[in-house]
Amino acid sequence: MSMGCDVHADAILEHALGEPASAELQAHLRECDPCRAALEREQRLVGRIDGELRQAVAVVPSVEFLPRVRQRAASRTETQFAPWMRWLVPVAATLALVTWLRQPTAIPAAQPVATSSVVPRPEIPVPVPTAPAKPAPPRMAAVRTPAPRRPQPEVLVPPGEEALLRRFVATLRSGRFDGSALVQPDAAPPPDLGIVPLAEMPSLDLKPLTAESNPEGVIP
Amino acid sequence: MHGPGEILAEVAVTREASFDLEHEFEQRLGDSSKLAFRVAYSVLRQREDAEDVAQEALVRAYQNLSSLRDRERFRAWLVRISWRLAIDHRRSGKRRELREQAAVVDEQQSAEDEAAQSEFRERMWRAIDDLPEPLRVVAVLGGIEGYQMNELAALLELPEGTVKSRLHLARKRLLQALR
Repeated sequence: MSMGCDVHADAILEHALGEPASAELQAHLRECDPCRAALEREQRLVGRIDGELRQAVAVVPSVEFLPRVRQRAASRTETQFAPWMRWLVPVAATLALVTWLRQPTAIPAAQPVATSSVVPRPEIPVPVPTAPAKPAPPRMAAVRTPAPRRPQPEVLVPPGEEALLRRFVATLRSGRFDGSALVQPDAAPPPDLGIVPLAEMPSLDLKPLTAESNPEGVIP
Repeated sequence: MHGPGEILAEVAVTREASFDLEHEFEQRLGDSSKLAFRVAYSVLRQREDAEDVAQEALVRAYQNLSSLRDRERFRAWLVRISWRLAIDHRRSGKRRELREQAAVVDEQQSAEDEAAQSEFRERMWRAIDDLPEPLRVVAVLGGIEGYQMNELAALLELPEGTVKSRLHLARKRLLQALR
């Protein structure tokens, strides 16, 4: 390679790596034997590098490789999820039971009694109270608790206590058994439920049976 | 607040998804396990270490498979994981000792068998190690997967032009180093 060939050194290198040769380089290679030889050397070296690299990385893993990957993945997954999976089902079952027990529907609600089905009580002579009769108890209002998932049965509550009941149910559903919800200061005072005071009964003068009072011995 | 029914339903869905994931991973193992191993081997040049690193890469890929939205990127993703793990492993002091021991063994073998070829390969790996990382990755993957620019570009998630220029530069530097 002569002094004039130095200008083509980089072009020869590029051509050896696969780049197309320019017309100038092609013309020079036709005339210059040393540069042609240099190009052939470079091309052989490039081929050797590529071949060695391909051969060097053309290794295959051992037969235990894939089983070990599966084993490692399984153990890692078990370590990651086992405690969670082990406890989740019992916890969910317990939650289901507790939630079901807390539902008002778990215990059958008292059904409203129809007026027509009331059996008349036998007449008992009771002295008529002198105090003016209390007004009739207000009619019970039907409150449907807001539950989007399933239909809720009607629960009869006295009027004025709907808000109180709703607050109490919300307290239960929030997971806090807070009885103070029933005695909130802003809660409405207990309405008159129409409880009639017990009638005053005159004291009875009970005396044991004697021969004088029951000469015939008849048990009344 | 989730109800117990919802929790049980989530458990069922999670289990079903887990089965699907296992099935997909099994398919991926067949397609890509060799690639992961070869990438690790190209960095570590020691079979046991490369297998260990490739196993870890595959397990990590499995653990995070559900987070990979575009599954077409799996091989590129796996190449990146394997490469990073192998580089980290190589940097560790323990690995360095093993490499030196392995190099001694390789030198002994080369003296007995094919001295020239082994020597050339040693020089070639040293030259590859001296390449900047972007060039090294391209050169090694070119050796593993061949010089199909579109495949290399997909694996490296780079434009084809970038891959082509990097590969050319990497081979040129290797050529200059191994003259």
